[in-house]
Amino acid sequence: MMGSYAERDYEPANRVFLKAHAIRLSSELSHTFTPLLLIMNLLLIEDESTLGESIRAYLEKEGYRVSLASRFGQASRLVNDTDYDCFLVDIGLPDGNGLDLVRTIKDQQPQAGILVISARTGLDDKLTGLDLGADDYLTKPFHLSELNARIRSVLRRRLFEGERTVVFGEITIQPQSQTVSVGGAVVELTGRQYELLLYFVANKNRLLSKAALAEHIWGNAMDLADSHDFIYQHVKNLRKRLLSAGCPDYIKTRYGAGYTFTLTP
Amino acid sequence: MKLLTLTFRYYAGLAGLLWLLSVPVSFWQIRRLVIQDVDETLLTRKAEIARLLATDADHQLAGYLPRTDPNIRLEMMPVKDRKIQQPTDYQLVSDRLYDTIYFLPTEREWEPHRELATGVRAGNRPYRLWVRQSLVEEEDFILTITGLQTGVFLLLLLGLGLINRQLTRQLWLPFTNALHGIRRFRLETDPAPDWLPTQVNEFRKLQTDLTTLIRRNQQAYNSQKQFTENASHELQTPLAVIAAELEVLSQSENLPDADLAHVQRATKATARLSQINRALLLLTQIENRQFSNSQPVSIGAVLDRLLTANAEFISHKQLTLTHEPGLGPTVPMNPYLAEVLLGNLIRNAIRHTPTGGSIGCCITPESVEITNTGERLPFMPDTLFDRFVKNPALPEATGLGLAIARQIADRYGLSLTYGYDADAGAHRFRLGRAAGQKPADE
Repeated sequence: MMGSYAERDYEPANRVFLKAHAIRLSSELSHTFTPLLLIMNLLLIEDESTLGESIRAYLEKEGYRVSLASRFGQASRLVNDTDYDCFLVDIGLPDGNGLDLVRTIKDQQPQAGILVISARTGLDDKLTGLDLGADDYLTKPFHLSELNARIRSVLRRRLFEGERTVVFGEITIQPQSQTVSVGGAVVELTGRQYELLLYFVANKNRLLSKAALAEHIWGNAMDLADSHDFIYQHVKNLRKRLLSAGCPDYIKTRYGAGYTFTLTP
Repeated sequence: MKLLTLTFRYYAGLAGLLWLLSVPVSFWQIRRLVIQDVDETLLTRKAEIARLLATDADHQLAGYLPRTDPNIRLEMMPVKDRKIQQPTDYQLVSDRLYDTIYFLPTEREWEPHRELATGVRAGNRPYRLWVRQSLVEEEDFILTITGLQTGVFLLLLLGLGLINRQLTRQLWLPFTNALHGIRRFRLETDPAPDWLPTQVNEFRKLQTDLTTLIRRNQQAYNSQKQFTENASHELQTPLAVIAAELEVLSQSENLPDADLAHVQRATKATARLSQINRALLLLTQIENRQFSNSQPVSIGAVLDRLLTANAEFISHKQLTLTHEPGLGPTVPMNPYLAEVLLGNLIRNAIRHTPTGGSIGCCITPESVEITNTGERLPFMPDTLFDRFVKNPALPEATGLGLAIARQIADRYGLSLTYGYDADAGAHRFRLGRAAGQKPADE
């Protein structure tokens, strides 16, 4: 298992120290020589076990430590007993309302991030979820890469108050000022190009389909029917911008499937 | 017409009829009694006169009486009626009572009189006697009585009217209150209304029946809502599983390109399925009126915002946009549905305009019009708003966008119409208030 070394190496007791350490280190963190030191603990509350396992497998590859709870009772026990950095809550549980869990989490672990997952498109759930203090809301079905990007964004906001610098190869991103620089020189990107880049970095080494990219940036506002050519244009422009700033080409095209953002040539 | 007015009309009609019947009846009845009384008086007078004249052998009194009383007339009977001179024949002429009129010098008018024509004896001579009495005072009396009666009737009518206006208004309050409650009742949001307490059995029955009806509807509504939600949940979750599994599979490092293509095609199909599912769910939810909160929405402002949000797509297709910002009609509706409605129209226009074409928005205080250049529809225009109707050239579209737009428009009593302008080669969608119709809700 990809993320399993983390589970062996670090006991939960060390995590507070590690967190602080990681924050101090964060400005000099560079993907090229430092592996991800910080292991984030996630609690995934999802009643559909197949989906839960897929999500867990995907997120563990991203380096998270994921616990899975499929029932309300089990989940509320874990919320009371164990500290997590982020909760992924499916609010449609067979034996309870996930929104109650959100309430409990807010009460017990106010520092943790909460991402609500729902199969309902009803606006009410979304608004109630966000009112209760959830950080984000995702409707089923979703792209795992989207979930990953959202978790990253929640954690960045929660743990680093958005101050953490994201470094990827030659690229340095300051999320707070939304500036991107390559080798110290600022690269001017449009808002969309910036969002694309951030999404790529969040899902590095992953194959990202055009549909996932389109949905991330335009949400459901865009129909699949006309998204692909459009995404192609935007990615092309982003790549051009980065290349002309002297950045190596990290965007690899996999024909007919999508893009992978990777350091390996 | 109001029920109260109608019942009052019946009451008034009955009272009027009674009045019409009773006034002449009582008039004649009273008059009969009066005449009887007068007749008795006349007969008494005749008896008195007869008693006085019986001893009047020298006919002195017979000459004197008519002079003192103008109401008395005496005439000696002609001698040829000898047979009435029989001493035993007391009654010479039979009594006859009748109505007549006389001229009263004091009143200078002809006035009604009652007269008794009879015969008396003065000494041994037979006389004819006429005694009369004026009916002027009696007429006045009758008129007063009748007038009083009319007054009483009018007072009764007035009282009925007042009772109708005031007391019954009070009595019917629970009913009007229940009507008001039903009118304002929204199944989507409200609990069963509280009724006014009442002593009237019928109203109490109405209230309990209404409560039962509302409860049953709420149950049906909730179970339907539950069903659509469950259906969506049941579908979205396996879809989410498929999508997640496919995504994990596509991340597999040693997947050959050919297999990856299969995975991508499956992913695309899954995404489309989920989109259709979402659209159908939205349609059901609009049908079920699950979007209840509404506020005044300026159509023009929403359109403005959406055009800005879609500007990238418009410029990507190199479309020319002609748009003059304006407020347009303000419609009380759910803001989210307003976005969906106009968003679908705009995206429809963008998608179906060929590259380099143009889109126009025309906003008036009553409507908005969205036009886009393009070929004539490849199907019947009147099926355009039906579900799953789509251009065969764009098989990936869901064919639900315009159906949703129409459903939302219907929900809020707006008219959404389509026309093709052959001269300009443009499709024209017009969204406006339906003619002569106020917004359906709120």
